[in-house]
Amino acid sequence: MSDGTRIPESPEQQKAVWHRLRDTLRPQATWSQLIVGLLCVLLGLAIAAQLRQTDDSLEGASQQELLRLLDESGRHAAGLEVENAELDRTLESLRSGQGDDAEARTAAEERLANLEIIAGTSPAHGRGIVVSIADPASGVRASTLLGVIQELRNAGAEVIQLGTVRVVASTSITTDPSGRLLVDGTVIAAPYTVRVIGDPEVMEPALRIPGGAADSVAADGGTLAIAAEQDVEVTATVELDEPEHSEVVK
Amino acid sequence: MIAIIGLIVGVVLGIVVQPDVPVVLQPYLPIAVVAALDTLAGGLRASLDGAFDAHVFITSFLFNVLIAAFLVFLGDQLGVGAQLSTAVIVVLGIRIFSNAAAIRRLLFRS
Repeated sequence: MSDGTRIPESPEQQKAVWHRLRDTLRPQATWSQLIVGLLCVLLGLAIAAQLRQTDDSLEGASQQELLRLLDESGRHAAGLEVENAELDRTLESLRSGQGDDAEARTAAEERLANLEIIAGTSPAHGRGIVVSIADPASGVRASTLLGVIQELRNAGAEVIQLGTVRVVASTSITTDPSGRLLVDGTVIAAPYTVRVIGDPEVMEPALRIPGGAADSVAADGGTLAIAAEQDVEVTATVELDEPEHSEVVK
Repeated sequence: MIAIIGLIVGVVLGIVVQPDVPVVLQPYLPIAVVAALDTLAGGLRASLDGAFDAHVFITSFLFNVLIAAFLVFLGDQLGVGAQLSTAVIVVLGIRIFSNAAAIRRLLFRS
């Protein structure tokens, strides 16, 4: 490292160097010294500014570094984007699931009401007719009564009560040994009252068609009277047995 | 002495005022600072050698700073900014070290 610098070889020379150092450090009020000082002020200012700048982490970063950071944050953002979309989907499905649940519940309740009416497990009321079959001669046969029921069903009867018994799909009308009529094993006595919920304008003519239910009753020696009513109450219900052998196919 | 006082005053001023470096100058400031430090070390060594000339110091200070900044600028334009900055820093670092070594030898003879 001896590029032009004379290494002091004697204590005198050493002293001279220290003397020069003292000279250098002594303030001298010359223009050049002033300019040197000014430059040093600028340098200190620049150092301070640069130190502060470097604190702002990104501003001093090189291009590659910035690219890497940008890339990283881009990837991070993409990941968050994906996560956001996923959560949005989850939220959406949860929301719609909630709506679906409510809808499904309403639909199920409606369906239950319908099925209860069809199965005859709950009382019902509505527009319909009340048919009274008088049988003074006890000549009305089970098949005639069944014919009346079938005719009503064909005419769109929704709920039928015969005497005190709710007529459902499995209802049987039979005759016991002494000639009395049994509906589902219950004895019914004349006059037989059939309470029907359905469209009176359809059911009434259906019973009265020539050769139809009314005529069969008349042929058996009975009379059939029909009264249309705005509100027919059907209070009889049937108990459903748990199916023993059948299972629902899902 | 004026140089040291100036340096201290500058740093204090920079901390107090908190100057904003113009965006255009931002890439060049660190290199310029290192170049100025190199010149400062060279000046101290020259003064210990008894060969200090304020005019030489002032011109070399300005020139070193400008050339260092220009090299970085050129490197940026050529697409090798990072590498050229490193090169300039390395060269200036070596110069600072050699100047410091010379000063040490002058003062302590060992």
